[in-house]
Amino acid sequence: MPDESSIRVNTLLLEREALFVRIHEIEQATATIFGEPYPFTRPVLPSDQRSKRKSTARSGTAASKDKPLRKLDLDEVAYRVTYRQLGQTRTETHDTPDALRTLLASQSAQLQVLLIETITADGASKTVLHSATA
Amino acid sequence: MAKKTASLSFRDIVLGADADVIRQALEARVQIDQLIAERQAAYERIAALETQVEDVLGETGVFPFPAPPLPVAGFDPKADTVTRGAAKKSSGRPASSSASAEDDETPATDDTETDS
Repeated sequence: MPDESSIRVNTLLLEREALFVRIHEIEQATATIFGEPYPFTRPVLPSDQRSKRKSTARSGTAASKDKPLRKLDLDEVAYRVTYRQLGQTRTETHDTPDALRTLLASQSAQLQVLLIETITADGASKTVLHSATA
Repeated sequence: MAKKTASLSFRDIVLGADADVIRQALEARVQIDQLIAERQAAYERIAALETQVEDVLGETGVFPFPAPPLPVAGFDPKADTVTRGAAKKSSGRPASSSASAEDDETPATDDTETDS
C-alpha cells in the first residue's frame, strides 16, 4: 500500500536520524576523552551510492522534482506545499525543504504533490517551485 | 600530534612513557574503543535502514536521504541531503571543523580496525 509505504519510510528515516544524533554524541564524547577532534572515518552507506539509472531518466523525473527546492530568498519566509493524499487535498507550510524532498520522493498513485511555492511574510505566493497537473 | 605517529611497541611504551600517562592512556583507549564500537554498530544499523527505505521505494540511489541533523564526521555539515559519493572524498575528516586534525595521522585505533 502506498500510504503504508510512506509511513514506513518516515519511520525508518526517524530511526536513522536518531542514530545520527547518537553518533554525534559519541564523536563529541570521544573528542572530550581524546582531548581534540578524533580523526574518524565513516563507513560507506547505501546513500553514498550513485544511481545506476540512466541520466536521461533522472533528469526527466527525480532531478526535476528535487532541483526546484532551492533555499529561501531573503524576502521569503517558508515553503507552502499542496498535495493530494488518498483523495484529500492538503496544504502545509514548512520552514525547510527537508520534508518536501521526502514528500516528493514518496509520490505514488495515492500521493501526489500538486504545488510547492515560496511565500512571503504576509502569506502571499512568490515563486512556484513545483507544479503538477492532476 | 602534528607529527607522524609511529606505531609504538610494548618496549617503547614501558620504557618511554611515565606510568601515570600509560594508565591514563589505557583508560582513554578502552573508553574510546567502546565508543567506536557503538558508533560502528550505529552505522551498520543506518545502512540497514537505508536499504530498507530503498526496498520500500523500489529504487536504489535515488532517494534524497536527509543529511545528519547534527555534525558528524564524513558529512558535509552544510548539505541538506547526503551528497552521494562524499564518503570517499571526506573520509578521515573529523566532525569538528578544526583544521589541526587534518595534519594528524589516523591512529592505530581507527574504527575500521578495532571493531573486527
